[in-house]
Amino acid sequence: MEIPYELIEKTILVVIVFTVSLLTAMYSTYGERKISAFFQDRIGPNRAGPFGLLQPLADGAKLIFKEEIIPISSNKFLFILGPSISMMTACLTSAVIPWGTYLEIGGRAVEMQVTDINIGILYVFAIVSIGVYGVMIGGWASNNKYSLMGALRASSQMISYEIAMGMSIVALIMTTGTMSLKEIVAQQAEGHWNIIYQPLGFFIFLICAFAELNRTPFDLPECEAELVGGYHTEYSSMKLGLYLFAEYVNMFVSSAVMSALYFGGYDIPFIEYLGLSSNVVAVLGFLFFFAKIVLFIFFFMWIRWTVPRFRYDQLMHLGWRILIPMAIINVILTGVFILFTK
Amino acid sequence: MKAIIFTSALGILAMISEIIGLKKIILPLLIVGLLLTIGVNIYTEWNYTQVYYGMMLADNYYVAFSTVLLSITVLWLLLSSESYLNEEYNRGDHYALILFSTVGGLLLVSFNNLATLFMGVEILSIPLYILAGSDKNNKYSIEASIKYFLLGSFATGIMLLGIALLYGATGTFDLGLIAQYNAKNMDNTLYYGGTLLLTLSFAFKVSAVPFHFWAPDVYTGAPTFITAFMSAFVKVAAFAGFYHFIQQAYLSIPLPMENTIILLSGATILVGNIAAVYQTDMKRILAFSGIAQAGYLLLLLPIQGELGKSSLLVYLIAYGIANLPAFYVLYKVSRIGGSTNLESFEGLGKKQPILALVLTLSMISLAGLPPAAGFFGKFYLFTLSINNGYLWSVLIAVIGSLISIYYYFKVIIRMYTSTESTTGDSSLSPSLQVYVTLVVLLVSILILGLFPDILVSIGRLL
Amino acid sequence: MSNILFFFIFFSVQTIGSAVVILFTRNVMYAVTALLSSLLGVAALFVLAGADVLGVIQIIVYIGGVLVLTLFGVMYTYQSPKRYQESIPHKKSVFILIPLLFVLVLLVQALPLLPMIDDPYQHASKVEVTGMLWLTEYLPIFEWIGFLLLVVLIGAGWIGSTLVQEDKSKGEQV
Repeated sequence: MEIPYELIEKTILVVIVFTVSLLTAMYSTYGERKISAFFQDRIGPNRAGPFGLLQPLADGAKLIFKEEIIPISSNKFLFILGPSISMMTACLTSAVIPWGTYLEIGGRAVEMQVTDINIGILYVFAIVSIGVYGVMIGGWASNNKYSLMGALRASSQMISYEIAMGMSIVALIMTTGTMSLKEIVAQQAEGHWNIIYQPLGFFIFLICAFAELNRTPFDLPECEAELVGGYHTEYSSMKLGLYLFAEYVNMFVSSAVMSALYFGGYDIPFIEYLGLSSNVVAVLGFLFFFAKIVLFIFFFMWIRWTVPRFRYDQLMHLGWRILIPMAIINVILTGVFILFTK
Repeated sequence: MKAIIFTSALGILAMISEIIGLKKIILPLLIVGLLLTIGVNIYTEWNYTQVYYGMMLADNYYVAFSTVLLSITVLWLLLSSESYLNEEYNRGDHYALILFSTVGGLLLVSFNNLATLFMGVEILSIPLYILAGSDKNNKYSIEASIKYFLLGSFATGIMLLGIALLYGATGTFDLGLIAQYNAKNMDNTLYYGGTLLLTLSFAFKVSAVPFHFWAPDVYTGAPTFITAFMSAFVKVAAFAGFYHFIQQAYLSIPLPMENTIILLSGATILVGNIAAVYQTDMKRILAFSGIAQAGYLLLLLPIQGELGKSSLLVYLIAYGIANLPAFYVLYKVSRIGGSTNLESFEGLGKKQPILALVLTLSMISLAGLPPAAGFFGKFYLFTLSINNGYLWSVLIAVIGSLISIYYYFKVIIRMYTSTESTTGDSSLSPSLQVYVTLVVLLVSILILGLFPDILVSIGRLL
Repeated sequence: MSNILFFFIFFSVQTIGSAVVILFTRNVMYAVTALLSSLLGVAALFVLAGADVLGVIQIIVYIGGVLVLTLFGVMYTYQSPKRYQESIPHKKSVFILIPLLFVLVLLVQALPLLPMIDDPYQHASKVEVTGMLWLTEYLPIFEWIGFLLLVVLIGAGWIGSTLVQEDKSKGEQV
């Protein structure tokens, strides 16, 4: 019987990617607390394990074993569906991200990407647009005015910024000529990172990513000063955990997307001069990619503890009147540039 | 193609007229532009059949009907100019939407591809959904808008499903290829399901029974001039499009479809005419009269060839030029009397003899009596139908016409029999440009009624 | 049964089942959620048929755009979820039966087409072909869609503007 190598490979890869994203998200929470402590001149978590390294596990255990409360006036089915959608969409995106070139194992070239669909970017967008539903459904099902307002804010914010995000990506696609993430990363080999060609596009994408993730300075959906907890006010136990966790997974994934689209993904400049074997290059590339991701995650946290929150009208103003026109100008500039250089 | 581009450009000009300071002269500008468009269109496209990008078929049929549609828009602009004199705030937008709707109509008479058909229907309808609700202080207007929008979207959905089924059966959107497929294999349920759904959605657009329920409410609720546009322009565009579809997609019309259309026609004629008898509101009478006229026109659809086309042209022109002045008078009367009830028309013959004359003539034309254009339209249509073997349907149509004389003349009698002896209120008599337009319309109703050869000979060339 | 047929039936059942839920539920929120599921099923069917672009665009446009707006509408006309759950006897059988019959007739017609559904992964992706078609043969349609969107934009702005209307509505239009 023929051994279905590809199936086995992909299964292992899926498990690894899933684990890595969850682990990274877990330690992002730890990182966030440490970084906030650093910014505020505190020590941060240091009780569970050495340097408090086991703190995320303790948090997880706490969330799981806490009492589960489903408000009696809520809609039970939708109440459970909300966080499920959030978590599911958060984990789905990583399927198209190329984590490295390929490994040679026993004469087989094993791709380090779960699947290379040729409309990878569109896929990412599709999943992001489903992600809104988790927040909206959860906020509505809670039957609480704060939840509802949080959900409304979250969804209008996410929709508004999706447009600018899409436009900035359009300019990127114009320069790359492909929508497959693998090819986009491959084109950036040897230091031709897209950030050089698309600085404005990256800037817009970055801001939109903040808004899509509901991170400070755009964390209006859950701003505690006005809305108690926003859309997850009524949530408790692991359902709350899933919402919070989905945010960190999303942060990880969007950092990965940004590194892949604009910062060369697994590309290490000048690595070809070292004459290493392709397997070593692949592993090093993966590590380098991971380092870029961690850098972005740090950047997200840095912003969170530095910049204050926007007001709602300022947020909409920024999205519709500044970012979208800027993104359109970027598209036009890119088009003109391509027209005159090709 | 040129007509579509020019009209779109004029629409955009109307839209930005308030920004670039052309607000005062936008109306003459648009009318001159549209007349130029008509001229260029006839000059460059007549007898010069061409297919643009496989999406548009510009043959003589297109030229004739695009001329009719553009002329209706010009006449509408002239007649409606009065209602905008004291509310200049949204004039540009109104004109822009009307012109955009015109573009949709032009697409509808020239499509060569089902995708174009869909775009045409949408571009025609969406401005009208908006315009129907343009009187925002009147809740009936908003009701009309929402009703029209919801039912219209429903019809569009059915049309899309029909197009999808046709695509599933034939594998193409191109009308020519669909006709070829139709010639080869005649029995495919997917295909017939698709054409049936398309027919039903068209039946909605032309307000044929049993898809007419929206028409009276929408016509009553919408501002009078928008109703005029809907009843004149949309009906012409929808019928021309419907006929164009049947002509292009079938080499010979299949029997089930023929029977469906004839059945629809009979029901539409009877229901439209009988319901109109019981109305006391002039707008509703005109709405039901429009439904009944759609019934007569449906008789034409299965008739192929140049005779059918020329009859369609004659009837639609007669209908359009009779309908527009009727709505103008209705608007005037509602300004004088405050409502569109039949009572408001009492004594109009003495108060406003010109308006009364206009309404009388257009009612005669709609009823299909000589010497107006409507008479010849109906006569031609009925003869043609009898020749094609629809004897029973024509019988129903004649009965319907007889009923219709009752309610058309009810209005005329109200106007000329009145105990009041008030003198005319000169402040409400039409302005010069409207006056000229009305005279032109009246003269053309008479000329087309007395010398129908003009149109018939054009129609033979289609 | 081939894999592809299994997935086809699975997603068909999801699509149609969710659509039936929309018809029968009294809770608007359930209807929206079922619509979400139905649209996802349609997108999956598109992907199965080899039209991956269409599938993803289906998700972006319908789920990410249209349905979110619907959900907005539901949320802004917020009522307690309990309100939606009043029981009203179902008298919709006629409205269900007619479409069902129609679908049945179509299904009978479509059954001979089933062998056409072979493994779509054997075919190359249709992305490039689709793109070329869109930008060559269907370019006029694109132009007209742009035009239609302009019309819709004007209309939306016009419906939305209430400020100018109020102080100048003296010359009423009957």
